[in-house]
Amino acid sequence: MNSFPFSIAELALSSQYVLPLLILLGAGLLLMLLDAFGAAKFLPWVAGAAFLLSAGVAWTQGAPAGRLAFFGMMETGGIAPIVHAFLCLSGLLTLFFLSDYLDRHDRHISDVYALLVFAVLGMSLMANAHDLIMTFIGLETMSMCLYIFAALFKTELKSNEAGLKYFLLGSFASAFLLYGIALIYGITGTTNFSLLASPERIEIIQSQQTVFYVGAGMLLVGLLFKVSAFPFHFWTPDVYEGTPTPLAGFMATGSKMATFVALGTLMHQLDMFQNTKLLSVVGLASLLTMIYGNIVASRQQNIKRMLAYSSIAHSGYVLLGLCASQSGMEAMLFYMFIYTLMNIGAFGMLGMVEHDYPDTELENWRGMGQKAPLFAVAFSLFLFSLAGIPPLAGFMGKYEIFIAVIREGLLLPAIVGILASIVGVYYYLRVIVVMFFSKSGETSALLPSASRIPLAGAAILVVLVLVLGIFPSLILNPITQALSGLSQATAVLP
Amino acid sequence: MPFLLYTGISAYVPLFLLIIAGIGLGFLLANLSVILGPSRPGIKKGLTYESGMDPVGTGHERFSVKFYLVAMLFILFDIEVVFMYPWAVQFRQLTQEFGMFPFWEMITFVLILFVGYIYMYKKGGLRWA
Amino acid sequence: MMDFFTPNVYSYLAVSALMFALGAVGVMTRRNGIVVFMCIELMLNAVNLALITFSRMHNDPAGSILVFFVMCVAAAEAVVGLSIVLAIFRNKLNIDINQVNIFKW
Repeated sequence: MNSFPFSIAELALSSQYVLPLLILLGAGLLLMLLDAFGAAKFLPWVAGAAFLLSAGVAWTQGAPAGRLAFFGMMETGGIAPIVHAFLCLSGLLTLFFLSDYLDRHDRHISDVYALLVFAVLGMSLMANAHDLIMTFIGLETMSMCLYIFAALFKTELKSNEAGLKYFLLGSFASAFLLYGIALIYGITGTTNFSLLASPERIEIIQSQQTVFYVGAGMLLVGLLFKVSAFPFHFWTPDVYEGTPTPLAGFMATGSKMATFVALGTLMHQLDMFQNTKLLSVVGLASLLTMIYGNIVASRQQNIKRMLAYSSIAHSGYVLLGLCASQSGMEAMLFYMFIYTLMNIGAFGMLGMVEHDYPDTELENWRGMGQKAPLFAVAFSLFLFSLAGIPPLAGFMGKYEIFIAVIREGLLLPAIVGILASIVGVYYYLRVIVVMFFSKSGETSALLPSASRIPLAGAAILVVLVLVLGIFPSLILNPITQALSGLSQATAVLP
Repeated sequence: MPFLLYTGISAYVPLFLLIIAGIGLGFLLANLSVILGPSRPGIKKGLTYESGMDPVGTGHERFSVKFYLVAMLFILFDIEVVFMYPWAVQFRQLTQEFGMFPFWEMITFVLILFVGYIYMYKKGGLRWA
Repeated sequence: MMDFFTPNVYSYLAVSALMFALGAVGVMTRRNGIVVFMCIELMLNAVNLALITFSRMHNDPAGSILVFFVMCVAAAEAVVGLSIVLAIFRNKLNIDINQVNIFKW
């Protein structure tokens, strides 16, 4: 009787599975309406509550991998709830620093909160997609919001330029990604991850290797662009520099986490760990990314640009982790979580000082340690953590990555990575030296903002970075648990 | 591979003939008046509007940015209709199977768009001044 | 009739690949922001053509559905992109992307 391959009950069940996403969608629409009717001062609170609620619902919704929603479009089990919660957290942490930053720059842009919620929604769609169509839609939802973030200060030329650059290069990259999807769809006749991994599709792929390599390569180009891996990194410093600082922190963490998860899932599903050609391309990109990011970062005179190059370098570490199959996925998620904490902290605190463009020049931070000792100590803590100094969370993240890589037998890449991260210590330390050990010049009247909310955010992040450095299992255990079912993800399809 | 229903160029021959006839007729009529008609140029005859207003300014005048704004908003809302086509084609069968559910589904979609419309209206996206 | 004129899958794919390549070359060589953006749209439409061809070839609607989404994304991209271009135009009265270069390397 039923001529359609689905029933209403199935739809209802799917809607229940994607409830965290629906919460974000509803909150985004509500934020738009509130903004339209002039209730601007509630917006950060509504957005924050939505992130908390959505993350909470997702966290309690854990399920074994392979719980697919909407006819195999979305993965809602396995790591999906955790990734969603992490992404919500990155949005929430950005909120702490955002409204104060906008206020101090006298730009009361209330649209930004709805965009932030939609950006997280897009990230979650992309990271937890189980179909290439969904990957594309999520990526575009996310990117569209990020383009607007880059160009947010529309009367400022620097912001305009960042927006135009990011927009043109970003859509160029997503056109490549799309052509890759089209080619893979062309040879296999499906875009679903489960079906792509089925034996008969793998047979087709093996008989059409050339087209498959071109397609998968183009897909990789699109995704590697979003994480600013080596040959596609050139937009990163310029875009981050023109973007409002807390939002640059968000771009460097949330969007990268989502893209890495999507990339990792795709590599699992297309079984690239057996297919060494594509894997070695990713590995090579990761090595070059680490080396390039660290070396160029050490030559920067502007802290914001330095952090941008450092985020390129960090992408390199995570990509290296991705090459190490299952344990790499675990290390990658853990690292991205830690990186989210410390990087949003670093960018956020940088934004607390910033009133004008040259405020992020390293020169102007002389004597910050004497003027605002607590602030400078907290900022140094984030920098130490980014550098990977032992008792802090950043060290545990790097440790997990390199251990996973070494366990996989990739000894040489691990050594290159460790050497590159030692180079990295230099430029983080340089900022700390300037803050504490050089006399304050006459130009530096810089003082951090004394607003309570960003200070509270910074305090929370400091505590988290300290605690997770000592007890990494708090986050590592749930990730391991959720991932233990990933290998069966291909089994079920309604 | 049986890929297109109307394969072969033969299906398009009448169309090509029509295009050739159309272009030919256009050229013929436009040039016929030049060939047959008397040509006595003068100052008055050289004006753009022979007995109307004298034209002001250049032909390459810039348009106000607001045209682009409205055009952009139009594109944004216009393209959403594309999702209604497959829904409309399948609507009868869908309602036979699921009752009014597909209808409310599309209403939800339109409501989401409507929130966007309210936002645009309230933010002054349609205000000309 | 000559078989050369008979359209098959490969002719559609060839046109699509050609359009994509033209768009990519345009993005890399053109200097006007709007023209670069038009080239990107050309690339997206090349993908659409390929997707519809594959969709018809496999007799599977997923490709056509993706085309709808690509069209939608292209429209949204057009709006965001043109807004950014307009903002630049208001600040600088020029959209030559060679002149948008206040950032040093």
